[in-house]
Amino acid sequence: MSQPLVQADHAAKRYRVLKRQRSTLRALKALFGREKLTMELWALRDLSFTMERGEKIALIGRNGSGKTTLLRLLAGIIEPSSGSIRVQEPPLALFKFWIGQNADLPVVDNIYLFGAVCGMKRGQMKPLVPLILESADIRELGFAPLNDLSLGQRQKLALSVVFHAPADFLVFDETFVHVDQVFFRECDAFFARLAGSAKTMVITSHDHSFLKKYCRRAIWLDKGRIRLDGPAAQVIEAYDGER
Amino acid sequence: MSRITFGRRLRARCRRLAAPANRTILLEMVRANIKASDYHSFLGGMWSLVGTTVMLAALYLVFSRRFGQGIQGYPLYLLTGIILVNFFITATTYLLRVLIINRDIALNSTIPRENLVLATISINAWKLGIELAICTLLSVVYGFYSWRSALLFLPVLAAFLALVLGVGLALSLFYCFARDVEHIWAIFSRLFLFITPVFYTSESLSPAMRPIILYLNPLTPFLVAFRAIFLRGGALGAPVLGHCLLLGTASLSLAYLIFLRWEGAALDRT
Repeated sequence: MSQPLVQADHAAKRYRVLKRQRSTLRALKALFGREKLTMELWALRDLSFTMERGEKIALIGRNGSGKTTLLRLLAGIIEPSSGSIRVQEPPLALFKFWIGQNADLPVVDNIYLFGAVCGMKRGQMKPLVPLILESADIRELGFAPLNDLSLGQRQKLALSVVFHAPADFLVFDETFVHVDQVFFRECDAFFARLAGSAKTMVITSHDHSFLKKYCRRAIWLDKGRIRLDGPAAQVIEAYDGER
Repeated sequence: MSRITFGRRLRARCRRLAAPANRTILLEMVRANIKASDYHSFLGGMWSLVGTTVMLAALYLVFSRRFGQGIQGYPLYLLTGIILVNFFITATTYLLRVLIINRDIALNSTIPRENLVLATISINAWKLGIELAICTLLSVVYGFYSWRSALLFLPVLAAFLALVLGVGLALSLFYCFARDVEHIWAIFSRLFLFITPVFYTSESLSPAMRPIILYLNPLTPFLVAFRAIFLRGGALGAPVLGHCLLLGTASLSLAYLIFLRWEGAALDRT
């Protein structure tokens, strides 16, 4: 039997947040145990689940319920404070679309830069550049500084690069906030392809009809714990019913 | 089940850093940083040298009579000191803020944090490269340069970069826990211009101060080594070379281990 792609075993994540303004003196006092500089904040507690290859999973929950923290754990950006999360293959994660972009550089340079973040070399990216510009609807702006693009255009650019990425495991965190209706159709087509493929996807979004459409399974997080894990339609309905 | 052990984390990190995909990311980040800086054009590069040239002229005018008499190629002697100390101050100051400035990237992307550090230092390293190339050219013009110089250049440079990276990494962590580290370092780092033999010679120091400047200041052995390369045809003693290699290796290894241990906690607090 093949191993699950993700296996979480009583995973928990604790952040230590500052209680007071930091200074060298306070840091030294804390070091010698005279003053506590931070307080604990448990973002996730006792999570145990598995994810199989090819699954499309929606993560739902209120703000601060731990969705982004769980995605960061899956992406290997942070480590659990206790328990464990084993991920067989690192995912391509898209949290904030402006990550991996340099606003001072032209759009084309940013395509290469973000392409590298998505696992593509210059040689692979070169033939894709016109397609990406076309897809993001910024054909004439290839050599304009990224700063000149609107927030929505920058998001479309990032997503257009992601659409060409060769990853088999994808993680999206509230990715479609600024997208217009026209580009949303393109996103829709991408997710329709993804849904029919063997790729694995974990996604958070407050657009529940979108999640129901493309995810078979949903995990509802509540105050850092799994409240419900099961078929997407059922879990999302239960969540919506409670709100 | 227990948390990930330190050794496993170190091995996983090394594997990830050495992966071809990561090399592509790092290369693109360095390329982007240099392209977005002033140094990617010839004129921009020239502008970046103005500060060094003005400082060289000022120190030469003030100190050449007092300290430059017995030193052949005193302008090159001065230039080497200015370049190394300036690089140390500027690069560590840049690195100090690397985790705070790039917190969004560090917490929201799979780009290894080491890449952020290396990409940040790449701009300063690019300028250092141009300045050291000028030193090499001057050394050739003076007739000091030899094959020994060429042979020793890379190991000494690598050890120097390792020292700067080590100090910068440690500072970037401290800065996450105490924000006034920036002010303290701004004052403290400037002292290196005076406590390192940039314009004076170690022989001109009092017997009490000499061992302190030579052995307790981590920049001094590098200055001695680079001056041996540029001014004495690479006549560099094994103890000084060993001192440089030891300082570079120890500083980077220690700082990286501390970085791996504390980076998560540091980013929680930023």
